[in-house]
Amino acid sequence: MRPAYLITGGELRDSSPVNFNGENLNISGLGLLFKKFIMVGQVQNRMEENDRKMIKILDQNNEFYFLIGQYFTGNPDKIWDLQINSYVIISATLTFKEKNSAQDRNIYAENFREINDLELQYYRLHTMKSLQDRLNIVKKLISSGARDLSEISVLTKSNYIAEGIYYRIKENLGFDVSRYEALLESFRLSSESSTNEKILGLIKSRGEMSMDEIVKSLENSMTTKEIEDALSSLLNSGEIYETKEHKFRYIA
Amino acid sequence: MGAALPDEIIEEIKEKILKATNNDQNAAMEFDKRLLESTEPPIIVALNVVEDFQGDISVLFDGERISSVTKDFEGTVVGKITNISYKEFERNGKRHKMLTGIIRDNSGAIPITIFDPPKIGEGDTILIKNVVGDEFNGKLRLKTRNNSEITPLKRGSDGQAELVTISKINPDMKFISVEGELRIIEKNRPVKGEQSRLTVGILTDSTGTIQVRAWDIDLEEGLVRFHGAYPKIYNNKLYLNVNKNSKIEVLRRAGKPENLYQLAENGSGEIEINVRILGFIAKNPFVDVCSECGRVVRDGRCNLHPEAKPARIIRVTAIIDDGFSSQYATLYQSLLIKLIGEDAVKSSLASLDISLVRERLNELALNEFKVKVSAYRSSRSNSGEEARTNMEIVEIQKFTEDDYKISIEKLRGEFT
Repeated sequence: MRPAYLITGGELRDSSPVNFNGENLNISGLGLLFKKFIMVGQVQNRMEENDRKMIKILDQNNEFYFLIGQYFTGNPDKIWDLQINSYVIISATLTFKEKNSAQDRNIYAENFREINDLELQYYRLHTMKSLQDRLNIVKKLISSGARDLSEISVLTKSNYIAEGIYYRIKENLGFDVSRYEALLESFRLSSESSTNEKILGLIKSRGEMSMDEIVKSLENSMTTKEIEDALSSLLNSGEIYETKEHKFRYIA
Repeated sequence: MGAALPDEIIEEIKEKILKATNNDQNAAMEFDKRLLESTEPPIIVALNVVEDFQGDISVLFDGERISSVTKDFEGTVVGKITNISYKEFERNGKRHKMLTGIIRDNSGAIPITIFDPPKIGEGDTILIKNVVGDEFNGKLRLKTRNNSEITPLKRGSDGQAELVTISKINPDMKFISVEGELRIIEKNRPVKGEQSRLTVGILTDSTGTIQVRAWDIDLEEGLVRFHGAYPKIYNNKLYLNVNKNSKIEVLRRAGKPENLYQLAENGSGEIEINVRILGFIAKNPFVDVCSECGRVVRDGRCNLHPEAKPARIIRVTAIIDDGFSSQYATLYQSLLIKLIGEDAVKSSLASLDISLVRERLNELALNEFKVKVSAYRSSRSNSGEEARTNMEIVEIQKFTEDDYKISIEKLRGEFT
C-alpha cells in the first residue's frame, strides 16, 4: 500500500488533486503522491460545529482543520482530552470535494496522540530529512536527465515515491526546488536558534550551570550532542563563557 | 635496485626533493630507502616520493607550477592528466589527432590541448616541455606546439583510468572508469533482430545517476566498478555503454531488501527496521493452533500432529509503515503479550471478547517500533488470485527514550 508520508504543513498546503491511474490522490509541488499522510503540529483548538468535531492544528505557520469523521478509528470524544498548545502526531486522509479543485478540500483525521518534546524533535527532524532526501533526488534527476519511472524508482527505493516525481516530469509540471530549499533552510535556522535560546535561557535563569546540570535539565528534550553543539556555538558567539571546565556562565 | 647513476645525479635529485617538499628530511630518507628497493628510474622514484609527501613535483623537472601558468607562459609543466577525450581533424591533407584533457598538480588544474599525442591514458602523469599558455573563450589553457616534447612518466592507477564521478561524465569521454551502486531494470532484451542482448541498469553515486547499457554481457546488482565504459548520447540522453571489452568489478553484491517496499517486491526474506504502526485490525482474532508445531489448524486437527490438542490464541494485523510502503503484518500472541500485557490477552481469550485488546492496541497506534519482519509468498491458485506477499512481525520493541535520542542524533547527522 501507498505509505502515509510524514509531511510538512508547507508541502500539504502546496498539494493539489490528481487522478493517478484511476485513483484520486494528491500531489505536492515536489512530487509526493498521497492520500494518507502524517503530520506533527500544535493543537490550536478543538471544537464541534453542526455536529462535526474537528481539531485545529498549526504546523510551520500553516493552520489546518482536521475533521473527526468517517475515517477516524478511535473514540471521537478523545479530542476533548487534548490540551491547547500541546503537540500531536496525527494521521489523516486528504480529500477534495470537487475533482481537480484545490479550493475545497477536507482533511479527515484517522488517529492522533499527544507527543512529548523528544518525540516532537524526532518527528520534525524525520519529516525534514525525508523532504531533504526527496529534494536531493529531484535535483539529481534534473542534473542527470533521468526520466524513466524505473530509473527514478532506483533512487527513491520505492515505486510509490517515484510515481509522483515521474508524474510531475511526464506532465511537465516542474519542481519548485528553491521553495523547498528555503523551507529546509528556515527549519535548519529555527531549530538551531531555538536550541541555543533554550540553553541560554536556562543558564541565564541560574546564573551559572555545569554541563551535567544542563544535560539533566534538558534530557527529555535534547540529546547530549545537541547540547554540546549549542554550548559551543554560544561560547563562540560570546554569549556565555566557561568559568572552569564544563561550567558555564551568562555574559550579562 | 635502481639503475646505477653517478652519485652527483642522485644528490642533485635529492636536493630537488628537499626543495619540492620544503626541506622535509623524511622525504629524502624515503627516497634513499625506495631507491634501494625499486627497479624504476630514480626520477620516477623521486616523483612518487614527492607526490606522497604532497610536495611540488614541478621542481623535479625544472617546470612551472600549474597555478602559475599565464597566457604568456612558455616552458615545462608536469602533472596528472584526466578527463581525456580525443578528436581527429584534417589539415593540409593530413589527418591529425587532438587530445583535450585537464592537467593537474597539487597547486591547481588547467585544461590542455595536445596535438598528435603519444599514447596517454586517463590518470597518467606526463611531462611536457615547450608547452605554451593560451586563452580560449576568455579561459586560460595550455597547448602544445610542433616543438613540444611529451613524456609519459607514470601510468594512472595500475594502467586503469582514474575513476570519474557520474556528474562529470560527458559524451566526449572514452573508456572511462566509473563506480556506483547498480540496480538492474531490464535483463537480456534481444535487440538488433536477436543479434545482441541488452541488459539495462541504473548506476548511482553521490553525484548523480546514469543508465548503463550492457551489450552481450551480464550485470550484477550491488556496488560495481566499470573500466573501459564509454558514454554515448542517444535520443538526447546520456548513457554509459559497456561490452565484452569492458572490465566489470563487483565490489559488493546487492544485499537484502532495505525497506518494506523492497521486501514486499522480493516476496521473501527478513528485515530489521523502524516502523510506525498506523493501526491494528482485529478481524477474526481468535484462531486455533497446533500445540506441537504452532500452525493454524482447521477443523480442530493439525494435519501433521492429529493427536495434539489445539490451543486457542489471539492474532491481530498491524498496519506498519516505514515511509516507503504501508504493509499489513500479522502479530501473534507471544508478541501481543509483550506489547499489551498478559492480563488483557488472557481476559480476552477467556471471554472471547477482543475489546480490551483493541483498546490497549489503540493506545499504541502512531508510535514508533523497532521490528523484525519476515515475508513469504503465498499462492492462492485455488481461487485464481495471484501470489501475494504476506508479512509477519517476528520481533517487536516499542521505541524507548534512548531510541528517540539515538535516532535524533542520527537524523541530525544526516540532515545537512
